[in-house]
Amino acid sequence: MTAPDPAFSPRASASPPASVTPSQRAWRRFWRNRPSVAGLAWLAFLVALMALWPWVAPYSFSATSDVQFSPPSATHWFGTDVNGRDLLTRVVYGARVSVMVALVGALVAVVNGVLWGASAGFFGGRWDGFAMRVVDILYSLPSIIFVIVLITTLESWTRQTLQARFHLGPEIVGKARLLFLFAGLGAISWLNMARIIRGQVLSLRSRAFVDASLALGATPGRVLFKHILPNVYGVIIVYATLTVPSIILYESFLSYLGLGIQPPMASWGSLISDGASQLNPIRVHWWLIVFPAGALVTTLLAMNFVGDGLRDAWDPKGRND
Amino acid sequence: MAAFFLDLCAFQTLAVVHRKTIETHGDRWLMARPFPSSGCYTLEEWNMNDKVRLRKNQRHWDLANIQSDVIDLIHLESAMTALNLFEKRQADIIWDKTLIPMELMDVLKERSYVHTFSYLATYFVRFNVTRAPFNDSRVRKALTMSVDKRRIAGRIMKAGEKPASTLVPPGAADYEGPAGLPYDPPAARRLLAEAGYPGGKGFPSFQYHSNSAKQHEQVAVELQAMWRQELGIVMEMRNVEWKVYLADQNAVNYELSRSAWVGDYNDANTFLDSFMSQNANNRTGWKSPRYDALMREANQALDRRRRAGLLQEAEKLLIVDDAVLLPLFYYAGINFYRPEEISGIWDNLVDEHPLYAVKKKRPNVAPR
Amino acid sequence: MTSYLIKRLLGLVPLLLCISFLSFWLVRLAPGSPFDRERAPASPEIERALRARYHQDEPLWKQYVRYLGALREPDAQGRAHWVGGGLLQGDLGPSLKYRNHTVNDIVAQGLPISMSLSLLAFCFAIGLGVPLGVYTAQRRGEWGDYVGSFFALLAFCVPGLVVGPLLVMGFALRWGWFPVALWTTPWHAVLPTITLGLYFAGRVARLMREGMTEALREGYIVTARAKGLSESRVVFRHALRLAILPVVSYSGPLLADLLTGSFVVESLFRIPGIGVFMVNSALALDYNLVVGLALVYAVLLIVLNLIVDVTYSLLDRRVKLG
Repeated sequence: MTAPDPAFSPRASASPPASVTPSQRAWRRFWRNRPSVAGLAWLAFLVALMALWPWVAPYSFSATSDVQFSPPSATHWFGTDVNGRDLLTRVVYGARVSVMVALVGALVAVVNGVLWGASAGFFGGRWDGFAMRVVDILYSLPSIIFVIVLITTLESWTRQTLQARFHLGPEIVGKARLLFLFAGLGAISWLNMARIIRGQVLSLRSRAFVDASLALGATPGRVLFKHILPNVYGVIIVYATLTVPSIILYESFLSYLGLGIQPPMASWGSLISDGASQLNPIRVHWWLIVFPAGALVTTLLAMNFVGDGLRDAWDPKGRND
Repeated sequence: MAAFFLDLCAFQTLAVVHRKTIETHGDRWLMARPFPSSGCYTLEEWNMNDKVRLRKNQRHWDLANIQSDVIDLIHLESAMTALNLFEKRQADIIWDKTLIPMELMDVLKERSYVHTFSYLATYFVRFNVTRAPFNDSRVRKALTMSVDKRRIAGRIMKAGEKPASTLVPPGAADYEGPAGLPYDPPAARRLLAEAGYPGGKGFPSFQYHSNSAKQHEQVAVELQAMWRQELGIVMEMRNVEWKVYLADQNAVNYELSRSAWVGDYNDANTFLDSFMSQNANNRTGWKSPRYDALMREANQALDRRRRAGLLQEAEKLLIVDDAVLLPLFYYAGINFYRPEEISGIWDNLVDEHPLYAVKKKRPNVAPR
Repeated sequence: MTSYLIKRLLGLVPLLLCISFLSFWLVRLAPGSPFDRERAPASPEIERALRARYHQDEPLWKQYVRYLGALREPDAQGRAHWVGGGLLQGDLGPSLKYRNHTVNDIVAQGLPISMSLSLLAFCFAIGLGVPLGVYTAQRRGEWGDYVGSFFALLAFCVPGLVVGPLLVMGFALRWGWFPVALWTTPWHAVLPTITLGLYFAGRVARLMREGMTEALREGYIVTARAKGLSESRVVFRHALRLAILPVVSYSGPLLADLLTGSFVVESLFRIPGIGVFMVNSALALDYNLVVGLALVYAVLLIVLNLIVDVTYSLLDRRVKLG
């Protein structure tokens, strides 16, 4: 036994038909996990809704109307806001921004964080010291200033180049801002991930199976990717799901400061922080907070169930049944 | 000398400070204890983000008439916290506009502790007159005349703000403003067509520049919808954080910019002199020798009626003929205090309330 | 061990210089100036004088050297002398927005308050998160897990912006058990602690659940079970030590985040800590305050991470420091 590799889990050979590959078996395990399937169904539904909404929506996300603060009704299922805009439409549009921001942010966090953290923990010594000091420095820099500088300087630069060189319309140029928002959020979201992965790898590196595979002549890269990372897969998934809501909420904070998305666009974060001001002892327009927050929590729950299911299905040390 | 000289003397930039203290303590002169004050209160304690404690100045010339011994000014960031503290009687007065939960004003207005009154402050939009298509006054007029200010004043602002047609709010001393541009979408469409954009065709999309705050955003959403609907033109919102907003406005680097002005003293001059060519608060790129001449002449006039006439002519040039600004609404003044517990506060146009007169009728529980 | 600690603490010095320079430079890249106001000064000379007073008109390198306190300048008599103060003497300079206050004043006044709040919130987060994580890990895939995980998720999806007002509406306004805001008696600490701690409790619970799931699958746990040890003994005596590692690596940055306060909780409950300054200084472009707070944060973060690394090696003996 060199390592707890998914392909060579202890009882793999005992499972019957040889035609079933380990990955097929993992998928089967996944489909048997009811909460994970339900979570996946919700995510699929959400993606479909986001994609199809413009064609079925009775309202535009920016159209104002005379029905200000209408509670949920047959015409406005989620009610309306201060400008008389349909909240359901805004929640669905908000999903587009938030899901994009969260996915890009989480992806950057996972890729950057895992590579940086794992290499620091695995190679140790000077590289570890250097890599972790870099994380410390980046972590200590004031993140708001960082985002301000990134967005304002890059934005005006691209605005000019895009318009001058490629004669693009203002709509496309406006979207460029979203890109910088992604970049900015991604850039500050991977640091904790790197630190946690480094800690886990540091602990795994000293296990017998690592020494064994190195002694058998495996290259360090192979040991890292094939033997160590599968063991921190669970932590990666959990931390990625922790990163998603914090990025979504950080985006709302940036939007609140005027650094994020521009009105009348909406995101779940901005809808939630708008709704939060409804929590007062005088009068509560409850739908303005319950629906956006509900959408975020449900989606997060779904992502967690899917993550858990994937992790269990592919876990090197998992039960085999 | 100008008619508002006495008012100017009472303005804070002319307050008396103790030269010697500044010379000894330099930058930290406000931390000198005992603090040399010529006012009715002296600064006893100043904790950042916490509170400022003022104590009656024992050496004040009018000591007998200072009503309260100690006044604590509580620093707050959140309007909801302010309201909660007020409701729990941990605070007796709220008189900072940013600490009023605006979206609840339609309900709060009915309560006996909420006092709203006319106030010398205007919410308006600046046009950058150096940038096409806003260098054409017909375009500026079209944009102004297609805005239903009543809707904005009534639905977004809820404390009794009145739709504005002029820059100087009604009630300014010895002054009667000109009739502003009316709300007239058909005429607005005609003007836009005359300027070369019939039905908004060919009109470039433009940016509305604002510092980010919920209320400004709500106003902008309404403006965007109105212009799209009435004129067929596309406005893009550009919310930026405060310092970028100021830097852009100072550099006249915007197309339309959200603005507001609060009167420093009760005179039309505090609003109108900002738009003279050399004034750093102009920030529109608009320079009019005629306006400058009218303003100078007005401020040299000794006769009040003649002065008022000249100022009115100047304002007409600013907001009607050249339509450099789009006035949206006049702010309302808002104070929270329970009249049965607090005395000595009187509503006034500049929202100024001398502290020496303020008194809590039921004496304070011994200050902590 | 001692030599390791000394080495890491010595490493702090270049690190802080690096952070101070980077944030010093970064904050000056942001558009706008600390002296921009809504009302323009009466004449451009006033602003020029203000800039000169705070040496904002000098080249960047000179400003930075001055900030460090390593600048020699001729005085009135033309003799060169060291400009006093500076970072090297622990002087973080005057605040550009809150004139009359130095950055040192602001930190000295706010940091202790933020620290007490944060330690309370940290204890709350660990005290709630670790047991919840262990509970859900033990019941992985059962109803207990789903319910527990749901609450953990709810805790970190619903921001303090929502939790705080809800707590105030219930416990302070309706039932009147706790004060609505301010920071004077221990009672005032209860609601802010819960608001701040709940979010982190949810995160700790998720990490703990993961750590415990991993740990329970380790070979030696299986052995311990096979020996017939009771489940609680297996969990608390053997697995916990390993299971808590992800939480331990997370607690360094967690504590640093908590120590420097929370903008939302501090402004909601009107707590005079430094969390509000962390945000407001950046928005006001208060150069000195931004750099000063970044340095305070960095010192806390690095020292806490050092503690985390040491704790790590104590919990998992296989990890060597070095």
